[in-house]
Amino acid sequence: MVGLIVLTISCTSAIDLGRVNSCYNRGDYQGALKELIEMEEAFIEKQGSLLYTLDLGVLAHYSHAWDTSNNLLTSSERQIWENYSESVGANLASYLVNDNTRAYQGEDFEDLYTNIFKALNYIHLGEGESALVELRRLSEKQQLLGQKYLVLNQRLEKSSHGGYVEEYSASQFSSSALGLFLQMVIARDLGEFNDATFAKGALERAFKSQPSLYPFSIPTTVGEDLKTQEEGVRRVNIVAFSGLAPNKVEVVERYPLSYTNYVKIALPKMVIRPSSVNSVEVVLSNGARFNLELIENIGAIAVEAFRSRENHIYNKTIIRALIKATGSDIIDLTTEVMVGEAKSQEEANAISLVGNLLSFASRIFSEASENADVRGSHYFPDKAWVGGIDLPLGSYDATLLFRNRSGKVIYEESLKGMKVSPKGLRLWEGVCPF
Amino acid sequence: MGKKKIMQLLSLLLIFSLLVSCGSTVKVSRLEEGDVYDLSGSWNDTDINIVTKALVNSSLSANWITQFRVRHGANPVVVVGTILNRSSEHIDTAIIAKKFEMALINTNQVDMVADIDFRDQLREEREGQQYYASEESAVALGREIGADFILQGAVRTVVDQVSGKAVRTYYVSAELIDIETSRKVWVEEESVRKLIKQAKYTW
Repeated sequence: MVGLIVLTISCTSAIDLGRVNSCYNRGDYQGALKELIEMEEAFIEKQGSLLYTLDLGVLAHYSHAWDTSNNLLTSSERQIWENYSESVGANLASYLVNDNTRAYQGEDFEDLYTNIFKALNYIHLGEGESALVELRRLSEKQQLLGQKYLVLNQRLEKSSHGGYVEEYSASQFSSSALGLFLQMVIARDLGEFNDATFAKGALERAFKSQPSLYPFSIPTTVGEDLKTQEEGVRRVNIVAFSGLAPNKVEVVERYPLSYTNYVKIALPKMVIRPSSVNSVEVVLSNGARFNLELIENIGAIAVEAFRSRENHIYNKTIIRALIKATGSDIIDLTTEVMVGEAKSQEEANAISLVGNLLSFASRIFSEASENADVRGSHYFPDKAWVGGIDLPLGSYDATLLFRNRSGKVIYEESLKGMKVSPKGLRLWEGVCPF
Repeated sequence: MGKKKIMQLLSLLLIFSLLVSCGSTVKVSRLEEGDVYDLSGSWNDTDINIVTKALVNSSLSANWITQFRVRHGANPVVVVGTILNRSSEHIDTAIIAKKFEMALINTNQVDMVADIDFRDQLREEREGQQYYASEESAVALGREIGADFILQGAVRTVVDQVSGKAVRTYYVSAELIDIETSRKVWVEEESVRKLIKQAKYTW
């Protein structure tokens, strides 16, 4: 029993990433990468290898290690796919101990943005065809997500009536405007104008069909990006990321069942970590200046995608917590009955002692083991911004100025020697940690 | 059960677990050429073999070779162009192109010239020889054989899926185009359909 208690106490997924975060917050992504590699063992023990490779993959992308990032993100994607098949034992254990006993399957938004970051890696490597492969994969996953939400909605409709279901189903995420924007730009640069036009149409539909996730206007660059260019001039696009996507925290509540017993409910909650960036300005070495516009609120999408699982997590947690709490009550009741039926005071005392010990152990087990599954990636961004400009062929330096609500520049990123050539991909990228 | 028996059982379990843990976790065995193994449902060697065999057979049974040989009294010269990957998987289409090239050459009725990417290297080497190789051994310039046809194609995928189940169809198209007239002399498409099931639970 003591062994089981010790085992379950260690079965939490919370992890301290203080040293990694302090590097990240300074924009020292290579330092963050190094710190994360140093805590490999502890990280994998708490959060599993999927999240380890996912976090490393995103940080490697920010560090411009495109190939490494691709290898790591491919590994994460494979693990998400493999973990779809759950172990029966681990799944049963999750009903008795907590959800951390199951292999982490990845949040929907993590699975989708893995492909977006892989596509960006391929863009930086100059492999447009491979970037498009990733975006087609993204499109397939979104199609599957649409199916998944349809089934969930049908289940909800069967089990409940009223406005909640309508409100819930109206705001499902199934089409990423950022993914479609990248598809449009790459297809254009590869000379695939039919595909580029199709992606543009799909992007416009994504804004129209998901107003709660895209409550802002389509970036103006989208209307300009496919226009025919003059001789010696090419359209260049810039994508920038800011902030950090939400993470999960544990919310614990305790409800009394009797004078001596209570039920502990520990639920995971997505907490937004909103970006402080309110606008992004690009200043080019030829004097041109223009603003980027918001295309995707990744944080809002992460919260929305998590909502689809929240109901299931809630129900399962209640069932598990009640089983544990009822177990203590049953031990108490049985002890009471047995003490009453004891043939001597000595026997009654012995039964009472064993019963109390068991009851105590059961309560400790319940308290220690009931932990929320707060596993999740840590370094996906909160917001994505895009813009575009027509530039004569040549080489340019660009500075991205990330400003807060009061217009103060809170972060600056310089992109040196960016080429505008007649052929090849023309998408530049910047990242702000805030 | 006595203490002794329990100890014996525990010892047996310990020995068994030690034996299991001492075994190598990697096991490799050679496969026969015809063996079919589908592990993830992704594009694999079996698909390449199915597709290239069908496409090569189709191109050889079409009469473009005979027509050319009758008209020009020589073998047609083919250059391998690009086989585009328009699928949602990272497929090395060069394998398809190379298999096609090998099959055409082995008929002895078609001549192939170096593909577009490799040709620049050859030209550079020829030019270099003019400066650095001896006069007797340097190859001559301007003697490349021009191709009559270019082979190109594409791989596309269509996926129909629900949770845990997918039908994935690969469409592989190939065509031969007369470079002089832009006329397509042969076009074919081969498809491979796969049903991929993934169990929700496993032991």
